[in-house]
Amino acid sequence: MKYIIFTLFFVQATFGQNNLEINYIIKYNTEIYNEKNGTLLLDVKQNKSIFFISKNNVKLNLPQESNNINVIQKDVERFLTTDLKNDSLIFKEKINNDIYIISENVPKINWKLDAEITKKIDSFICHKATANFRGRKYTAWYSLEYPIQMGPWKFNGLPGLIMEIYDENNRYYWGVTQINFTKKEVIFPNEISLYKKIDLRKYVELRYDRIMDNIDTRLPRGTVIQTIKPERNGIEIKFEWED
Amino acid sequence: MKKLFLSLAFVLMSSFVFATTVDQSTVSNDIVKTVDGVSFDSKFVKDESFGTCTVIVRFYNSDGEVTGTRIHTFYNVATESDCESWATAVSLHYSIQ
Repeated sequence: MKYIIFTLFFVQATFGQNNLEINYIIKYNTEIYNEKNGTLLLDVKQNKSIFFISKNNVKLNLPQESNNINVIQKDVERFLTTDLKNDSLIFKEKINNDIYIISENVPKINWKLDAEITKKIDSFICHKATANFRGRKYTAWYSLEYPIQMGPWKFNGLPGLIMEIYDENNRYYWGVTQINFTKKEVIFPNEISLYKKIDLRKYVELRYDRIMDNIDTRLPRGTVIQTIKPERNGIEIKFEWED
Repeated sequence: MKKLFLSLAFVLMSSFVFATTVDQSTVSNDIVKTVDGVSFDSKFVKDESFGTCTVIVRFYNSDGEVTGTRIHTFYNVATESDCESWATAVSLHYSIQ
């Protein structure tokens, strides 16, 4: 009850006029380590959020000792919008030459709250939560000072703002760097209509099963080509319909 | 001379092939760092004067995740230097995609 009153007071007093902009550092400790900037914009009135992911030049991080020919896909600025009211999440993703808008329902993440375990991030007391989500086990640290359900990337459903979240292998990491109130209107991208729209199943098929299909194999006669697809190694590796 | 001829033939073929591909912007033009991964292996070939050349290309997405590996094998390659020429040609092939 105390928590509800606090939340209502917080939303009324603090967010009454303002939206919120939260900046994250994103670290992908993948086969080529890379960092990106994430910006979470919250439209408090509409209960919607948008998470922008900056472009990054991955090739700059390619280890110098690498002794293979490496082909790296150029990045584009990506975003995810989460609309809790309409249970809708859409995101922009590039697969080979094509940019897609992928739609799904807002994922329901079954968090296990360990509220008594805390750590301080900057000046915020953060509480621990863990969850398995699409094949990876995450640890999140959230702050009740910002009672916001929406978080970076597809994370949602915690009682407070996610200040830090990472998977158990530290392959993927998101951490807050700055929080600002803003009177600016949150503008959702209107470029959605420019790209092909697909659902999550189709995305998974393109991302994991057919990603090498469109890479040209026409080489001189006599060349023998063998294509090897790795095990699923992206952020999401197992999906609800695969359980 | 043979090496040069091989490279030129391959480049010519690549340019024909890729003249028809759409949106070539997704693969950086300067991403091919080295061709040191080329290995020259003649141990499975009876005739000692010919070998097998293997060129490995690894593909990454913009999150730094490996999305696939492609192994190119060229048979009847006479020298290690010829193999390196094939590797150069293969790297050119993918860098212009």
